[in-house]
Amino acid sequence: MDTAARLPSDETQIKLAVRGDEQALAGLLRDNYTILYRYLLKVTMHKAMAEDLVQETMLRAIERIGTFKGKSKFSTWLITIATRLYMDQMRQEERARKWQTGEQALQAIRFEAAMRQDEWPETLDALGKLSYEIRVTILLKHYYGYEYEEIAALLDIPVGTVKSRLHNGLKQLRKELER
Amino acid sequence: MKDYRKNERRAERTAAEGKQSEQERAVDEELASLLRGPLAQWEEQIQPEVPALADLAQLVSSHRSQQRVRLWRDLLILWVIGGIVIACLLLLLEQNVVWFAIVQAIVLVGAVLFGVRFGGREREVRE
Repeated sequence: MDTAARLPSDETQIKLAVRGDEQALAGLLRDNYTILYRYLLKVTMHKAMAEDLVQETMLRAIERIGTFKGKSKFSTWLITIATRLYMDQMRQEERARKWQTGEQALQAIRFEAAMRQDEWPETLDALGKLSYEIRVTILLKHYYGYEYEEIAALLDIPVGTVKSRLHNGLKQLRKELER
Repeated sequence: MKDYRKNERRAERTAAEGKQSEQERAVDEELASLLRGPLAQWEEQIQPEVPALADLAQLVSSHRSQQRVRLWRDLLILWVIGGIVIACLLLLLEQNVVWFAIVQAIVLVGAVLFGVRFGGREREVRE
């Protein structure tokens, strides 16, 4: 029997996890670890902060797995938790100050890419210079394919604000790329 | 005449909405063309060290037991505080009925105001 045959399907694993099975939940967290980390690194553009938030998101997921109804994918649920945690942290002035090494953090990511001889497009630098609110909105819409209404619900803001953030984000990106 | 104006306004509104959605589409397309490629390229480069299943299972188990301890501690605190409040109120009722009624009324008003101010604001993790 191969490994895939022995592993429970995603749906079964989710059902087991919701019922309190620790192994199943651990398996789900492991399977979605990379997606979550990649999302948070793109959103924060800060390696240490992304790692910290992955940890906090997983703890929150452990606490709330009983409320997961399976209407969305497990990874979407994790992204929702992670986004809210990130926005809450950034809104708290002290925490924001703690992470206010934005440029240095971006440089560190750029340096790592250079060490691996990977390309680092200018667009990503420009994205890193946007405010966190605009960056999250742009990523959710244009990389993760969320609808305006979903983003509005997730971030607790009106749909109009989502649209204006996207509009302003594009203007700022254009300006940065023209420099 | 009235209907004509109404229709005209409606047509203007529809045209404005159409223009707006066209603008939105243009913004969407430009953002997508600017970002999708570089982001996908970066995503491929991000290779985190995924923790072992055993470590994650340990995390789940220890966090759950911490939660249970916290829950029991909070419940104990709640019972103790509840006991003290009930004892004080019974004592007050025994000593002075009027003051007991005043305290009850103040608490009721406070609870209603609190409910109106903060009720329904607690955010759930929506799916």
